[in-house]
Amino acid sequence: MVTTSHYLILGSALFGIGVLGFLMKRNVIVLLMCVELMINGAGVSFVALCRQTGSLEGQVFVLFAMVIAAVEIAVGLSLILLIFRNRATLDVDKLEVLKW
Amino acid sequence: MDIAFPAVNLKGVLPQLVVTSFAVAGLLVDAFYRSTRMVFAISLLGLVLALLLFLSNWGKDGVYEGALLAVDNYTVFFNILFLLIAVATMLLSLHYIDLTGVDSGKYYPLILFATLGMMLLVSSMDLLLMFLSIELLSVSMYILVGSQRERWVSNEAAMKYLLMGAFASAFLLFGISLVFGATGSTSFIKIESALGGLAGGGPFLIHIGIAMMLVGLGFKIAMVPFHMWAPDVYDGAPTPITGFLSTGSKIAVFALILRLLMNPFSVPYSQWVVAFWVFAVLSMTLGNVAALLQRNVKRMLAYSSIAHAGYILIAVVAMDGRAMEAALLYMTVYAIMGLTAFGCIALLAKGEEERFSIEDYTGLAYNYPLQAVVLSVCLLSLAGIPLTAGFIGKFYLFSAAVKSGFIGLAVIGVLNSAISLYYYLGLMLRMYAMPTVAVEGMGHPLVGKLAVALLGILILVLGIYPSPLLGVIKEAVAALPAI
Amino acid sequence: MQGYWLAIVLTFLIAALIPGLLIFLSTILGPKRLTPEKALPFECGMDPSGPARERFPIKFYLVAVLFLVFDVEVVFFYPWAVLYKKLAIFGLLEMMVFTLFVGLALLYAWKEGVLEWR
Repeated sequence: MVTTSHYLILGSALFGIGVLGFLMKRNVIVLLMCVELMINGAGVSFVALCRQTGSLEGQVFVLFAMVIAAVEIAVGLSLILLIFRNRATLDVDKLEVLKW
Repeated sequence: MDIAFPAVNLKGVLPQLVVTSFAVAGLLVDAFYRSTRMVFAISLLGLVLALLLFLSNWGKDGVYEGALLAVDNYTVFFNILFLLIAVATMLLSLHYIDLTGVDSGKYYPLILFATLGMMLLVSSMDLLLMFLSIELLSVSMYILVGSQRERWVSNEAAMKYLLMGAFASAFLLFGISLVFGATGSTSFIKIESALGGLAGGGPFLIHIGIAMMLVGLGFKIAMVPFHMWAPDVYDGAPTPITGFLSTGSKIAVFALILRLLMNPFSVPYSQWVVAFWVFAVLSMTLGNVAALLQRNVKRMLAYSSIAHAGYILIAVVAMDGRAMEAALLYMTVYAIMGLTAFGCIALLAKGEEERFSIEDYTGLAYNYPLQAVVLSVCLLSLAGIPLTAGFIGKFYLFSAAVKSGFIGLAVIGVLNSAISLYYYLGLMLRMYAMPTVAVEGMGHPLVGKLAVALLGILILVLGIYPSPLLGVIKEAVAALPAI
Repeated sequence: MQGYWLAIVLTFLIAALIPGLLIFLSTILGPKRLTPEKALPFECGMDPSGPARERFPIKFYLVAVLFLVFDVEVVFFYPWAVLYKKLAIFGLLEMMVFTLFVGLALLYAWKEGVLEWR
């Protein structure tokens, strides 16, 4: 029997993988993918909790979250293009002009 | 399944609709006619029109039942504040962006979109609208921060802001999903009633949810320990946008946090006071100490803005009617100070090069008397010297904390103000020292100078005669549910 | 019924078997002489030069980003389509406003020259 808890664990696991990846990886595109993973982890838990509480607001929230994620990725990709054009690198450790 | 149609009240959201349409119109005019002046005029007109509409909304209270938006004095107050911040930002940008190679046809409409995000954020009565407006605000800000496409620091700042902002938004989203799961609704009113019946501040789930939402919102207000993006982003962004970011965006999220703690989360909040106490102390202390060490004026002000977030958090800890009034007052005053400070720096820009290093400000007063005087007034106000608006703000804030029994917090706040005196006055004295090298810069941007001078006068006026503003703030706070 | 499907399955099997057998036989029986020319990625055309992960024109990215946004926007039509009848005129008006804004965005992208394949 698959219960709401299972889905919540799945959602949290996705979210956790995203957080770990975000903190450990160095490529900007991979970082954006990790954020996407986190958002979708939240989406899974939304849908699961939605089924449990029986209200539809969570489902609507997931649709909006998907669009928001796409918008963030679109802006992110454009910035990545700018950065690649100016420096030919996508390593976050190279984003180091601004510090202290 | 029955679908409850929401009561459509277009009159209540007319100002927001006006800002939206003018922003879209601005973008289209840019695409079709490539006329910067027209885009500027359209954007400014949209802001002013919305401002007038809001002024006519003052005093007409009413949270619409089941609606996503609240239109009451509290939201109208903040909406007017954001519109004024946006107008000031536009006027201060006018010369700066011509100098530094920004595509202005997109710049002004994006300011409108960011303002719309702030406006909807303070008005939202539903977690969905709250999330969407935070994202509208943030995404517009990412682009604005990166709008100097040829400058590497601007690119870098935008990338960092986007990565950290998206990371924070994901936390916020997960937190919202848990709160939704614990209460079965995303509407503030329904969450409140669901939480009201629960003993001990609600189930464990809601506290995890609130913690994750706090991480997300804490990033947006740059509160320590979620502040590490702020100095880099404030430093790399175009200077007028730094002002916009550090005032508008921060105040919008603070206004939302105050509303959240008042309305849906008043029951579980009692267990979070200690956390906010720690955040307030950390933000004040770390912000001020780090600002002491800076050699770059923009970074110094960035750290000082983290410290000011800490001061506002004092009111969040105290959290009664008096503290709310103090918070609103401080936010208004801080908005004026932040815009003035970054506006003055923007006015000193010279072509591609900007003057950020502290050495560049030596003897500034001899070549740029107006900028130097206004910046001095602003720095005195930021430090909280009497007869300036900053003093009034801090006075109300600390006395509200003392009256609510948080004497320790007030003492730490006063000590921090003393630390901040050192670097604010250091910069000020430097401006009146004899110049070692002749300072030469841009011409004399009339509009920008006028705007900065007005803001400087406002700081002094509010410092001497604050009672009209206080009266307005009292009415605004009265619109909120009693605590 | 089962025999009916069995015929199709058998056809697939035979169809897979015949070419498989042919390839198998040719690898066993055929001569294998590896020359440097053959080790190159392609046996005809120019010699490969430069790394495989070359830069490619920015227009692909522009189109991809545009697709990403517009594709996801369409997700909002889905709930409306499911509840089309119940939402009636209210839903229709709401979606028209939404479509108007998406259309304006497309118009903007068009005028900005994103759609032109330069």
